[in-house]
Amino acid sequence: MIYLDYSATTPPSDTAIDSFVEASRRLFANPNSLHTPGREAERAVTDAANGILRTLNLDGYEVIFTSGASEANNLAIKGYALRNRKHGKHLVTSPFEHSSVTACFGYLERLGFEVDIAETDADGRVTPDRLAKVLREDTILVSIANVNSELGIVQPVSALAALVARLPHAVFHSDVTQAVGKIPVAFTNIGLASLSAHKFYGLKGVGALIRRHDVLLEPIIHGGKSTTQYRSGTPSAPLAISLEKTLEAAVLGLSVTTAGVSARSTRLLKELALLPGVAINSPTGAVPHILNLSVLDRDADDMLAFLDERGICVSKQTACSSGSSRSEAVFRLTGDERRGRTSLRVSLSHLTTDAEIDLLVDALRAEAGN
Amino acid sequence: MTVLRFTAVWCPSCLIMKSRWRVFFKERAGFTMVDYDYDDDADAVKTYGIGDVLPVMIVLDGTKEILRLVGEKTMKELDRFFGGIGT
Repeated sequence: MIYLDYSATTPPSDTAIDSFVEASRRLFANPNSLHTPGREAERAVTDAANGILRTLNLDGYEVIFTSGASEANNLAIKGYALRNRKHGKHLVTSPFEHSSVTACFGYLERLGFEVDIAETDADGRVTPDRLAKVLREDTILVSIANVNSELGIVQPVSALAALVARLPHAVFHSDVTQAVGKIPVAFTNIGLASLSAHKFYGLKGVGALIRRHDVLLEPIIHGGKSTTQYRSGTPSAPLAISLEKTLEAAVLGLSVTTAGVSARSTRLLKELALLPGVAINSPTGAVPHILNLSVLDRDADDMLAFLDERGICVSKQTACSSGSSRSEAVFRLTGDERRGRTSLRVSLSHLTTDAEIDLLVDALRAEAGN
Repeated sequence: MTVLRFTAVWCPSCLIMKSRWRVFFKERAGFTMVDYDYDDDADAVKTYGIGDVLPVMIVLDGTKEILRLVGEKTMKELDRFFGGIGT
């Protein structure tokens, strides 16, 4: 198998699995229990949260463990909007968000919130001047992902968050799921950030919402105070520990893994440039680990099946999207219906080899222009 | 006249068009709005042959479809497509 779908999920590392197994045996008690093993489990969850904050170089934040990034996005957006609606009902996002972000805004719009989608430049970026055009005194929340999952667009979140910080009641949320552990992430002026372990070689079923202490939320899962007032349910100390360890490994190893991914990405781009009938949809400045392309004469479904028969795994659009045969993100960026219906996402890892890249290119060459 | 609007919560184009529709229909009288959810209202989606591009807006004169707009449209395009309808 040639796995080139690392932005959908990554294989769990030994660190992720071993730390989970070890902690599952040792820390099975309920962290909400008051006996000694319960208190030990509670302390382990707290230590894992503190470890995550140290790894991300954050002070004055809380880690709320969730089932993944979708839950973290829901808690951030719905939780903040519902808790803070007395200050305003105006919300802002971008047109290149994960569906778990966009759907929260769609839901809130139906509840009576006003939602503006910021315009973007030719490379899909929300520039500060474009964001400024839609900000208002009653804006309470702006949510813009650090890295788009389908095209790899990198948003200037530091500049955008600084702009939002000038407003009286607004908070900046960023879905950093496709960024953390892949590129350096700056959290300055970010009030809320969502992440998921399985995107950086951790386990599925655990993620986190990073909350600055002054940012108050309405819980979306009610049931009383657990290790946090914002998310009820029994916290899993083993999952929290596994997330902490894999995040630490991903962030500490960033310079090495980035170099490997960049080398594979450059090789792939050079080869694709030689293939007639193949177009690159990812814009200038996109992250190296996500490359969106179109084999223009082949529908995405057909190409996906063709590659799958050869053991090559890619995505036709983000795994969590609507299932439409047209990629809205690619169509929006390129303005080209054909590219929207033929787009494939290739996502790379430091585990990807030159040989795998060459086999993908060979397969694309066999189909492009046929 | 009746305006049927098909949207989904996960659709950014739907959010964009909802803002524009709000402004556009403020200045046009005589329309009854009926909103459908693409995921929840499967019967209506099937009845009106809604495809995989959202949002969709259908204008009915009685039971006769006189206009169908699919996807994002600018305010100028809305003006142009509607022409004299409802003014």
